[in-house]
Amino acid sequence: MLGPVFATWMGAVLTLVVFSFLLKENPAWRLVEHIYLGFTAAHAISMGWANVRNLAWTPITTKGKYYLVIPCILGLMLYARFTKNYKWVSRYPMSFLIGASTGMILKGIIQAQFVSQVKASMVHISFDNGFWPGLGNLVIAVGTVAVLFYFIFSTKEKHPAERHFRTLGRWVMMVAFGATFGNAVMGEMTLLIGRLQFLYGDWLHLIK
Amino acid sequence: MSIWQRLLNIDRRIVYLFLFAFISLPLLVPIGLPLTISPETRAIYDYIEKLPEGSVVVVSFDYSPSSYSEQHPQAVAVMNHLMRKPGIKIILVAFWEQGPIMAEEILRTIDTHGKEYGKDFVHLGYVAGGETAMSAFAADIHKTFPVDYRKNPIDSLPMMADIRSAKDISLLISIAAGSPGVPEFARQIQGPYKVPFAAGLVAISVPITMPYMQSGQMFGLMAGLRGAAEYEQLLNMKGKGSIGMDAISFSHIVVLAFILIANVAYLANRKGGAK
Repeated sequence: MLGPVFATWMGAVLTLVVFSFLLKENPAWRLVEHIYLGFTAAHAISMGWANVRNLAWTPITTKGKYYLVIPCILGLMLYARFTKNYKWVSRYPMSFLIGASTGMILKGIIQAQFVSQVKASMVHISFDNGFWPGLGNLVIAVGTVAVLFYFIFSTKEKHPAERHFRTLGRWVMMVAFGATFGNAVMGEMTLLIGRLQFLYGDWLHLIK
Repeated sequence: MSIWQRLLNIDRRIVYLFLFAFISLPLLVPIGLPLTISPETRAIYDYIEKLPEGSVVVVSFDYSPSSYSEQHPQAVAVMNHLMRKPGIKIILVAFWEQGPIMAEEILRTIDTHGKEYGKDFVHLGYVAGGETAMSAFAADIHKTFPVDYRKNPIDSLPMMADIRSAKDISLLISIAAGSPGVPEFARQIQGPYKVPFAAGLVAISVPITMPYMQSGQMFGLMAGLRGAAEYEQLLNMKGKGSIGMDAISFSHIVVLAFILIANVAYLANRKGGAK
């Protein structure tokens, strides 16, 4: 029982120390920040090692899959970047990583993030299925074209209609930024609420 | 200094104090403000409700402690629903290195409703590589995860005998805080394998993810803590999402009030300056 109680108290004290930053930056807050970074780095190392053990070391030593030595060597070559004379060695695995990742992303990006999105923007503007769905489709169509037009920088805006349409594109983006900001506020508040729930609930048992 | 100038120079600690008070109050004395359920959240609930026995659901824990408050309640709600459904097989996986901690915390505390580890649900843990790892997972689960998070060889888990690739997955749910997340799943799993896909998201990434809903690549999403609260309401369970909703509403009132005060003070101050 002592373990969970100790963990809760430690969490509560660390949370309060982090909150102290709101008043003023102080050494205790900096200590907690470094503890967090240290724990995160240590956890990343342990998860990384588990991956190397499961996907390389064990198959090589117990199943004789010696070809897995190649990615291990490439991985070790990455660390050469920390040396002055052999820094160039790390460029080979890095170029392999970039090439493989680019190929992997390109495989799916055309369909997932271009064709599908363009298709979704080609909506049928009709009020046959009701006013609001029709209005929604109209907003999508006009909004998409207006924003795209905003980013055409090579025209000279000879006609006032061009300027107005560009302004509409800016307004559409402003609405989108507003929605993002509103969601950002909700997200940040949730983080505070989560900590207060922990303090009032798990630590002080004030939430029933 | 005029009152408007004073209002424009409110000490930030006063703002913190107001927020602290207005969030604490509904947490300690819940009001139970009504909450409507969005169609995006309901879509996930309905989809899981209609899953036939033997369906395989992958829940990907792609978040870290920094978004714990928003996303853990989402994961808890979805996992509760999946555990309640008889005959559903659940695979827990993570493409974020801190994801397995979250998954294990849920498995430690959740009522499994008689489901057994290895037979009805497994926790495969984390694999490095982000999008590349997702692609490998979709192509061959056994090769990507030779052992599960609890160090059992994957071939020793009865449930995994017939589940080999993304082709065997009935539903993919990612509780995603960032990258890798929705775009990567859309590119590597939903698109190529046509796996039905839904997500639990941090609130800030909802607007940029909505195009995936519009295009039909995602059929449902939970937006931040509100999404979790909605899902809890659908399940008739009282979780951290529901408890936090009153506080969310109160905090928004405070933020709106300060935005209003600042704008009124700014305009009044400018008018005064012009004179």
